[in-house]
Amino acid sequence: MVITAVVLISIAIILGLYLLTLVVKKKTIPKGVALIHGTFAALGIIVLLIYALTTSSHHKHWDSLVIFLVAASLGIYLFSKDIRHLEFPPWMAVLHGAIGLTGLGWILYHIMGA
Amino acid sequence: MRQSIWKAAAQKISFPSLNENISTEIAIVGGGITGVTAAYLLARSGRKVVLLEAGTISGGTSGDSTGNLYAMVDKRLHHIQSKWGKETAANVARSRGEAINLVEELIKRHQIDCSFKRVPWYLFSETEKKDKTIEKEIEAAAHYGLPVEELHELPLPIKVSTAIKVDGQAQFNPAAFVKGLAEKIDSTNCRIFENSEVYHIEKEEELVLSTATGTVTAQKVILATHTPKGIYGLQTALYPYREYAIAARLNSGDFPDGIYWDTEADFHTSMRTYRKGNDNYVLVLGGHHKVGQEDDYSRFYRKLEQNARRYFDVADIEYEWSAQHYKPADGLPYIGESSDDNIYIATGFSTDGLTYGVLSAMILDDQLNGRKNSWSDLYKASRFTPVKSAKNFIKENINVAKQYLKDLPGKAEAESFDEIAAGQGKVVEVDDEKWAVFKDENGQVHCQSAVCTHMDCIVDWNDAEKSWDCPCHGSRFTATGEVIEGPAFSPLDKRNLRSGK
Repeated sequence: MVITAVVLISIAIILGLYLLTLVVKKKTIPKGVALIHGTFAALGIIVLLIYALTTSSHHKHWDSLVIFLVAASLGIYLFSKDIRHLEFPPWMAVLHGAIGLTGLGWILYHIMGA
Repeated sequence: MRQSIWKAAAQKISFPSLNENISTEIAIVGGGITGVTAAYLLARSGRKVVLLEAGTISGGTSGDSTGNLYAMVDKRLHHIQSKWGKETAANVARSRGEAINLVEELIKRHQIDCSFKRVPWYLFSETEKKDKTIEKEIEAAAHYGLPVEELHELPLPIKVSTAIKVDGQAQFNPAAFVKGLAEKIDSTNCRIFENSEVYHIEKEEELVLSTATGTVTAQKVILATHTPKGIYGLQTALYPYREYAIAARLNSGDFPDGIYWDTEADFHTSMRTYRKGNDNYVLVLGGHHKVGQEDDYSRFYRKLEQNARRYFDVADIEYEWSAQHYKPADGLPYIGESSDDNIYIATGFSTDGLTYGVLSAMILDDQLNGRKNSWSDLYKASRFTPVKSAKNFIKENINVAKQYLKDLPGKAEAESFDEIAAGQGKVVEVDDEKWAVFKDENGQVHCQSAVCTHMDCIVDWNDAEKSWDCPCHGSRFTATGEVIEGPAFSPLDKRNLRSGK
């Protein structure tokens, strides 16, 4: 189940990197890509949450979940700004991506170490 | 002629455009039946009003409507009853009846020449399949004290299974009424400006409305623009649809006046008669579809013509037009103060906009004058009805999400500008961006971003109206990108042909 979550979040991160290049280039963000990015991320978080609630293993990945939820909150904030044509500083998108990548790295570190 | 019979038959009037900075108590955006009736009533109450219309008075949806006024509703009263209860459905019928009475009173008081007459309303089924719908509506209408009668034939050459007749409804020329009423507004209290499109509303302590050549500072604003201009959460509960109409001039046949609604589900045709000069016309309406989500828009006119010719001795189709309406999530319009303080809205009328428009004006007049209105809670704009709205809300917003997927990279209607025929438009991908490209009859190419300036959906070419229509929230733009209607304030962003294909 954790692997499924990692795959879903990885797809979200690849799409997120594409969106980030557009933000940096100050181009219009395709909302379809943003919605798919958000959907994959949300699914990944839900799968990880189900794992955390049902697994009997010692490490339940609550720490990674918290990191992803912080990234998701920032992502929702960015989307709500963008869809209303309100400006946001590009560093905020970079921070959102960095937090997401940190979460992915953190969970991979624990999976590899397990 | 691609124009409504109402606009063609209405008197010509004109008002100046705004060329100054002025202050007022109440600014009204939109010169249709809602805006003009509200301006009339508020000015009559002594309030200082400025009305700003982007085009000409009654030049938008009011002038493109059916001209029918009725207490019933498009979704049927028995649907309102099943969702909201008998008392609410009764109040809907009563409130709409009061609005019709006000129209009649204003016409009589000011001698407005707009062909107003009381006529019966009919709902009929051509086959037994829809008899149940008729039965339910008979029961509902009788319960609300409407003068209802069951029939098995119509005064039109249409074979019916069952029909319902409700007397005392009305028809008029909506463009002539709105223009006539605009001329009768107390000019000491109200100033009207045409060709004064509001492109921004600054929400400060007071509200500042900007047009290209002036500003209006107001304490309160009424957005009588169908859907409110700008971005509102309410737009997730408003669903834009278009419907088509033709006016067929008859060789023979003089049919009694009436509002004739067919229960046929796939085309939902309604008919009415109209006399212009010595000519008899039958107006056929239908072809309901989501805005910006069709491939061939002209087919609706063709199907309406087929329907007209099936029943009547048609000489020619003299007028063709279409109009937009917004369906509300929970079945009732949203009228009153919006989520923004001091901005009032009137929207979600479905296809019942003429009657609801007048009713909105009555409610807003009372609200802005601090008077109690019997219907204001029923149609409260800020109501929260998750259970009643859920089905439509989920279905329609999934549809909106699907429309957003049209901007995925690599998806476009044409590879190059050469694929676009003269007089047509297509979405083309240029430099990783979607462009809305229109080629005029001279072969000149007009390029703009295909990203709607409201909430970034990709617009769709409407071949029947030669417009770019947004499938998400119903903004519409001319072939060259200027705003026609809908929630978008700004035109589509121009693009330079040099980087094109």
